[in-house]
Amino acid sequence: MSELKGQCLCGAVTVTATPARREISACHCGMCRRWTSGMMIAFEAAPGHGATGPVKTFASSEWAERAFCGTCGSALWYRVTAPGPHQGQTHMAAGLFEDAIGATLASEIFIDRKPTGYALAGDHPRLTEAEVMAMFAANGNADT
Amino acid sequence: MSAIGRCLCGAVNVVVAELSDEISACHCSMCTRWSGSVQMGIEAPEAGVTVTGPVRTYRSSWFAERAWCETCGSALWLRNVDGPDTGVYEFVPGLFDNAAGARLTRVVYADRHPGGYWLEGADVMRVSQKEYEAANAHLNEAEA
Repeated sequence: MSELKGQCLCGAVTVTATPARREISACHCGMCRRWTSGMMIAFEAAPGHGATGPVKTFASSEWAERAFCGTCGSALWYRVTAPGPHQGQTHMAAGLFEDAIGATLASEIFIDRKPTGYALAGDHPRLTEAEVMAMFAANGNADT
Repeated sequence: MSAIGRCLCGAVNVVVAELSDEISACHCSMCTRWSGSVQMGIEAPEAGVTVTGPVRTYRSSWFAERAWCETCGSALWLRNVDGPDTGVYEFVPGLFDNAAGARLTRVVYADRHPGGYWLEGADVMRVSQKEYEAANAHLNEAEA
């Protein structure tokens, strides 16, 4: 895909990113759920993405940070900070971009942590926490 | 029902005396950019709400504010502070364990959802942008 431009609600932060794949996925883990309104829907950005404006970051764990607009509070991205093969991997909030980059939801993860009161439609893989952790372990890195 | 909630980092805590058991979701462009996916809210009358911690707010329209935790960026609420429907918080479900047991009952700006994902539920009320703005005239000068 080519480079796309996105912006937060107030427009103070603009981001440019090239999706690694035309693919978005949703995470219902406890951290994503508390941080966003309910679920984090994001795409993986290829290296070379950028942002301008009042970006604030929070180290949400020993291995990752979350960024938001300091003016309006819009969620911006989740980034792996821990050393290793996934360091720097960035998952951009799809909502910053027109029509969520035009991608279809490819998967949901931590589906067993999703509240019972709502659900996303569609026929796509839905992975439990145990399945996600097994996948990460197989990849040699915990990058949630 | 009463409920206790907190943001991702735990700096902001909310104690709510009367939280609705219904979730309303919104796909307008402002809510999409702010939440990164789909904004959801659970109503609670302001009387009986106690909020502690480093809250920041942004006046996203002439009638409404959006609040987040200044430390971690977690979304907290949307609230009308002028015009109709003041006196009510719309807390994000993510603050509460299992979304406080609340259930999705309504999606507004339902026809504006990104092509790639939507919330399921045959019994969920779907309100289009046109219908919603016809019923809420104060929105027309805020939502482009």
